[in-house]
Amino acid sequence: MLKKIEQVLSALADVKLLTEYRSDLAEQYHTVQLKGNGYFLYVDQSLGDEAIDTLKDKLELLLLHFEQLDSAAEEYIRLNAEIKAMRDANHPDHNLEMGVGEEFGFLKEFGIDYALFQEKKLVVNSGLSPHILMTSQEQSPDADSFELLTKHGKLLGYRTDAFSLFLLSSKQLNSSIKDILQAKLWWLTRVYKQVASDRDLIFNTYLDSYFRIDNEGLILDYQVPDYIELPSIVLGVPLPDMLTDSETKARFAQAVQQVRQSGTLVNIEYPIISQNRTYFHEARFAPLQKAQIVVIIRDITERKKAEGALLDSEERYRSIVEHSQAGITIMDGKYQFAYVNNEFCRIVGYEADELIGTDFRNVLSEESIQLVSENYIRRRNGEDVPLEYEFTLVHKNGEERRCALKSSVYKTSSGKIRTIGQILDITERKKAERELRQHREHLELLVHERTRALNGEIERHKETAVTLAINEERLRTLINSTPDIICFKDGNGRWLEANDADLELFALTDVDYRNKTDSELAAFTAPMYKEAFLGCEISDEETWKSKELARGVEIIPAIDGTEKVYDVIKVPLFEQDGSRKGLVVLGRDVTEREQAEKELLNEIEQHKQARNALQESEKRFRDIVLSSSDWIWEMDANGRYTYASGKVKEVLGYTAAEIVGKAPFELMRPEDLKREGKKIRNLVSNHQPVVDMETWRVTKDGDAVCMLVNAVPIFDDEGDFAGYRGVDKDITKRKQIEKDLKQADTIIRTSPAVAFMSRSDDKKRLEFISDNVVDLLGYTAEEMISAKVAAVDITHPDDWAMVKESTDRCIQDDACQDISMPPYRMISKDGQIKWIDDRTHIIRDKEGSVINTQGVLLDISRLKQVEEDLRIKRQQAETLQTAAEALGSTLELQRIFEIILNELRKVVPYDSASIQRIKGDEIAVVSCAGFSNPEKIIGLTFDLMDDDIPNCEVVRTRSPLIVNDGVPDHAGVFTIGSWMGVPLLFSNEAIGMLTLDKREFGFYTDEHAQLASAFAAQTAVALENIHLFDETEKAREEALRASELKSRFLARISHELRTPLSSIFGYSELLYDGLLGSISDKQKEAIKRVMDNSDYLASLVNDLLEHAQIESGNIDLQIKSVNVNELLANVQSKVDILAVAKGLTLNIYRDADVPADFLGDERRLQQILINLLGNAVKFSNAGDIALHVKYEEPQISFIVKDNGIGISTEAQTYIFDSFRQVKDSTIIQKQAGTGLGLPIAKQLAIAMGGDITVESTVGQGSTFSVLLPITLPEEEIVWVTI
Amino acid sequence: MGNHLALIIEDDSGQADIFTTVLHVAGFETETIMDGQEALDRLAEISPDVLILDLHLPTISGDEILAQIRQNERLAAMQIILVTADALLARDIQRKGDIALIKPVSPAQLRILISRLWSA
Repeated sequence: MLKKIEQVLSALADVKLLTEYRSDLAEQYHTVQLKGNGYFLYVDQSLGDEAIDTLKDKLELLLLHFEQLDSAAEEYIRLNAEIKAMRDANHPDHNLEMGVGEEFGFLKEFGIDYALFQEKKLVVNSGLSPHILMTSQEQSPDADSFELLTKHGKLLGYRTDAFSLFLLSSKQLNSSIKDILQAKLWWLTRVYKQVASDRDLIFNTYLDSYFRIDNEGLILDYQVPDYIELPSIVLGVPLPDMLTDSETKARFAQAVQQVRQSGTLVNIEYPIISQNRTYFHEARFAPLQKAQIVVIIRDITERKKAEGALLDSEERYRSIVEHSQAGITIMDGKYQFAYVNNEFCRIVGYEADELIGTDFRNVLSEESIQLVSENYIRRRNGEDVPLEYEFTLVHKNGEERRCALKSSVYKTSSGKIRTIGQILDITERKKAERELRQHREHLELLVHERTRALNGEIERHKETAVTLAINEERLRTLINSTPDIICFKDGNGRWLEANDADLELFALTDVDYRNKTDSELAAFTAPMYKEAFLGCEISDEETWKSKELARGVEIIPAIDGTEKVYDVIKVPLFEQDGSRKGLVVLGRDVTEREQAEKELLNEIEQHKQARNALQESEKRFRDIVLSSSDWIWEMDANGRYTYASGKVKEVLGYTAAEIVGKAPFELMRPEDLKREGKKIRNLVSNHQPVVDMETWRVTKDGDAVCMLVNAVPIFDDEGDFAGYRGVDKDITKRKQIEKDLKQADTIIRTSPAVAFMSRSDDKKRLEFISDNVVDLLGYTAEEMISAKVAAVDITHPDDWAMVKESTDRCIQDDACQDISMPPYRMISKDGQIKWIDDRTHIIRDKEGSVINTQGVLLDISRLKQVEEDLRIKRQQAETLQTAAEALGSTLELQRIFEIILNELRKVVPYDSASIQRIKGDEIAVVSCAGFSNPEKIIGLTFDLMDDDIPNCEVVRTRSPLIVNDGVPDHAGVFTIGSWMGVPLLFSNEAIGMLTLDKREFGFYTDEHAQLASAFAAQTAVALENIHLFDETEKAREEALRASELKSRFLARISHELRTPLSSIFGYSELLYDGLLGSISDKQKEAIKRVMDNSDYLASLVNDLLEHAQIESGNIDLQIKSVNVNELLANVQSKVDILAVAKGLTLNIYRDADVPADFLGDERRLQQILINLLGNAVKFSNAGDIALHVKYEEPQISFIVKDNGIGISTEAQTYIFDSFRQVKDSTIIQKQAGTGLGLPIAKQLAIAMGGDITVESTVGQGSTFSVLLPITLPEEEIVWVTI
Repeated sequence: MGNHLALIIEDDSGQADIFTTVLHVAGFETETIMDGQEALDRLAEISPDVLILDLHLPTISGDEILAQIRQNERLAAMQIILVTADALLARDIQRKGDIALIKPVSPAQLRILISRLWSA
């Protein structure tokens, strides 16, 4: 059993479990001795202490359980033997069977498919019969036990995830044996379960898949991580069936075969393709007992990838290293050569084999041995030792070679220290330099005087630059540690990798040069490199063709116009099939060497030129250093500046010397100290680089300047933290601009208008929109710009067509600059409608093409709301106006009620409504609408003294009342949800009210009440008008009736008076004329008296009648053409009789301009004139009477003048009044008239549209003027009723 | 002129007597009827030269009688003098061109009227 565990564990790559201690393994692995059983566990250190501890605990536990399992197995064997014995003895319970795990072949005898059983799909699907049932598990002593009932008998089983134990008996067992067996089986189950669970724990730690297969290759047992999906049936299925790839299947089968034969562990790797990705799996097959095999499958995709990458890079670097112009060595911790390259072999003249494993110091000169040893010791003591220095190597032939060494230290994956050294043979250069130096010393002497002042500063800059460069080098990888240019290209000439020197040379530092050919790169860099690139491509091609290392000189132009001379080596690499794999290009700058040689040759001639070149070079350098806007600094581990470039003076006002020794905190603004101090301490304590940190510094003058700080931590050779090196960039101006921008943004943000700009002519693509769009539309500027929100989505559907049409039309019209459209609606994120005034302006180029559109959106929703309110108010006013007109259109009461109720509905909605009028102490419904039973509603009355009725409250308060929570209808049923009563007020008195009902509750508002009140005011006026009209009409009718009665009465009276008068007058005249016989004079005189009085009486009756007629308004004027001459002739003939009788003369004057004819009532006019002339005759005793006719358009005047007794001023005031007569003693009775003549004349004149006036002086006479406006007779005759 | 006949239709006997006197003086034979119906009946028999007609009559009014006379061509040549106490009615009649006398009627006026009509 322990062996089994061993085997299982051996399949796990990182762990070994052995019974013996092995020192060789102990050196390589972390070793743990397990408790109790003498096992040693060897674990890879990379696993970590915690994991190792867990593993150790688990293994100890597992081993313990395995021991228990072993004893269980022994018990099982014994038990099986017992059963066998029973069977052999032909025991009645001979069907008794027991099995563990895979040994359930016997189940087939019962027709039970083992795999189905494992999947618990057994129940009806077995070949046995439907009688097999799985009984309730609660009946069993353990939750995992169960019973199967078959028609052959009862089957009692115990089951775990991995193992199943059965006790099978078709007949009744001897109960004691059964009990014992049952108990033992239960115990065994528990042991197996425990073991299985521990095993699961172990495998879960590794996340590998685990399968155990039997001798037929069927899966007995498995464990896979959660993320692996397996088919529903696994157990009992051949393992290779889990795979799809036929090749892998074959390899699995082969591996199984191999394990069987060899009994050793077999390892295969294979690809799995899933969802178009290739994964790599590793399967380890380990043999177990009984020809079983455990298979552990692990995903090694990542490892494969890494391996692949590693192989590639190893090959690349090996190629670089092998063919480098520098000698390269790798030394182990004991300074023994582990590797040397060709160049190093060349320098020292030994073969690589002669060097590997020997001490490095063997090839050093005496003094160099001392130097290297000292350095070694110093480094061990933790001192800072330069990794670059010169030393001397001794060639095999004894010749000394002066070399420059660059070394770097790295750790292998196993933690061993290795030193890489790069050795450049500088013997030749040194020799040339030495000779040059002698001449240069002479040269320097000449320029020394002039440049001395400058030199100090330049030197400092130089030092800084050099130090910086060197330190940067330290951080670089192996490839970048060489000053030589190195470039690796693929078979197609595309650049794969190039070191910094190469990139700098071709100014490709910021260019993504990878996968580009020389010609392609030529396009990325300055034109001057083009030739170099193309030349390079040609020589590449030659190298390929030659199929061997090629060496040549290439001239590369430099940015300053000089040329650099490079010694270039190209090494072509080929695939095994001979195709091109890659090209390594190595180059070394030999410009100086060449230059030195040249200078040596041309020393005297070039003396002057060299001096100028030097000056130029120095000046250039200074320019570069000085023109940088950054200052470079270094600080120690204590955070104090140890170096500052001279530029700091310009930036901070302090000189470099002043800065050194200071800490950055001393330069900070006090308000930043706390916050930034913490931040910086955090960075420093974790040795983290500082990236783009913005911080404020105070200059020497006290100004605040903003710095963008970038710094990297520096570590010494021992890897200890030694401080920081960094660059501060002055970004004060930028910050100021940012601040200004922010301010501008704030201005836009607080502006009510949203500014926007759209790209090109596509209005949907916003390029910019101000942040305040979120206030307007609820979308952030980012959402708007991200094009998640399209214009069509935020524009009201009813307005979209208009907006789009206006926009498109303007965009297509080259002359259109402003999109004009009426305000439209947008819909905000939360669904609100916003009215927008969109002022979009189109920016065009000279050709009229659209560059972009920009504009502002103004929210005019409030304005629109006000407009809308106004519109509603206006509409209401118009409705009221219409209603008022309708109300004024009739004076018929029932009609007006209909109109009121109809118009009311237009003003305020209702379901039913009524008009009620106050009559005394009651209010009654006079009309209604909307009721199903109007006959019951009309005539309903309410007692105004009853305060419980809302109607009464309306009348009492003379104010509208709304009841919105239900009121009972006239039958007392609450069918009305909302009720409103509005008083009808006239002269501030309630004359009635309107009621409105609505079925729904809470309907009426104060606004309804206002409208209804306004309407009610119109209604009240209309009703009151009708009322007044009725009253007037009645009074008029009554008056008319009375007048008619009076007229009839008078007519009758006059008739009754005249009839007897007629006899009196007639007989008197007959007597007087002697027709009835002769009479005496005295009789004649008496009869004359009778005649006069009866005549007076008759005229009195006439006048009374006429007067009454005028009074009653019944004067019919007959208007027709009147001939003035005829009129005057008639009048004269009648008046002459009277005048002649009194000895008077009537003179008639007619002005020439009086029209011959005019329209008028001739008879009435004649009546007036005869009356006036009659009076004149009556009251005159002498002199003439004159009638003068005048015309002054449009008035004709008849002026009657006498020289009679005259009329007093007082009398003039009443002579035209009825029944008044001038009382004067001088008037004799005989002359007295009825007193009605003048009033009648005047009334007739007035009836004809004119008047009569009087002027008079007592004793001198009177003048009466009849003034009549006239029209001339072209016009038709009209009848006028007055 | 003994063969000229005047018919007086007047319900007031005094007035009728006065008319009779005046007409006799003017040379007319006269007949007086005091009832409207009787007058119509009588007019169916005779064709007087002059008719004095009071518009205020019992049974049938003067208006009615006048209307019937107007329809009778036999009586078209008859001179009709209407008499009424109603001055207004009289004026209306005068306006229509008929002759109307307002009570109280002056016998002299009537005599002049008769003589004018007759001479015309």
